[in-house]
Amino acid sequence: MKRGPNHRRGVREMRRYLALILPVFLLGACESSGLSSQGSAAAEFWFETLPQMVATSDVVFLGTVVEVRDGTTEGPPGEEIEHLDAVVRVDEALFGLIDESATLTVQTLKFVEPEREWREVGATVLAFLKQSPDREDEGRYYLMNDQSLYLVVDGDILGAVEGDRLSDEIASMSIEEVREAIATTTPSIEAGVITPQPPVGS
Amino acid sequence: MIPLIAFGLVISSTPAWGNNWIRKTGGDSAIQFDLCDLNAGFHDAWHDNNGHDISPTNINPSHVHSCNTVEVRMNDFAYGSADPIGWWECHSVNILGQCVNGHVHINLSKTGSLSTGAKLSLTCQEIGHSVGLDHPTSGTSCMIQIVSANRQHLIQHDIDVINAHYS
Repeated sequence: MKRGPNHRRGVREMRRYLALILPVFLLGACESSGLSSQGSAAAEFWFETLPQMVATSDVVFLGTVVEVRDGTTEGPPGEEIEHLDAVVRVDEALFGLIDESATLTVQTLKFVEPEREWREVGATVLAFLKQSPDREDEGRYYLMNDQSLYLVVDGDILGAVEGDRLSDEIASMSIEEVREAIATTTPSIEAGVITPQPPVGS
Repeated sequence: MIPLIAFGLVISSTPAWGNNWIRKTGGDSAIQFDLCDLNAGFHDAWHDNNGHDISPTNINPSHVHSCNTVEVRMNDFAYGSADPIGWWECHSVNILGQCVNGHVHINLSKTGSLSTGAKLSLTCQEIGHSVGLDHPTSGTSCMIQIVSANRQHLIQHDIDVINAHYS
């Protein structure tokens, strides 16, 4: 079938139209993939060494995320925040009063995404957590800062904070080295030689 | 060709923004905010904080050229021990990836014992987040993740980055 000048003009205009709108779609595809993609939190703790972080933690363990669910909504109207709870099974207890094969609920902010997303069923984590003393939190645990949770993939610990010395140090260690370091540190913590870091302002 | 060039610009811009601690991408107006609302919210956020009425005098607002339609609010509430001391969250983004609605939350459950200087550090950091700054891992900026009375200000680098993207 022979195509006339009107058809060719139509094709040219369609190409021009696509050229204009495609970048917008590409930008949209790149940037609007989720509500939780933007957010950032301040911290009360920051650690220079592994022993210091262990001493400040209530529990340290290797675990597997077995469930991720919407958590509580808190705050007055207009100031509400939403939580995302990750239920984590303890595969290996490394520090603190914690039973292996226990499940812990870790409370996180739904709209503040970690540098490496770990709140997915099946994710393996190395976690340094504190337990909330608040009755309404029902024993939930929480992260002290961005340094306190590491995604473990195929036995490799991935860095949690790009450019942070402690995060890089932990990421360079094998699981066995972490296990040994914590075991070596624990007697000094229990003896009060290494003490927990006080939170900012205390 | 034009789409490919545009897409290439988006991709190539990412490392530079990362070096500048900017988390957001999507153009010069990646995050906009209404300075009028921000000022009001800033005072509201600290209304019950022993009369400390912290004005945003430590934030250089020269990067804000006008009020606009994008909303940033600061909320303060005793959210509990299991939440951070303060944080910024963006609730919705437009198709270009620009944040169009976000809240700064100050957790009064954890701010009671902070010195005035530490409170300034915290609010400085959260407002910095609301305009797109991320946490550096060293230096003297209030954007360092741990709050400190010794870091109450944005450093010139932060201000330059913001100015560059809000001009």
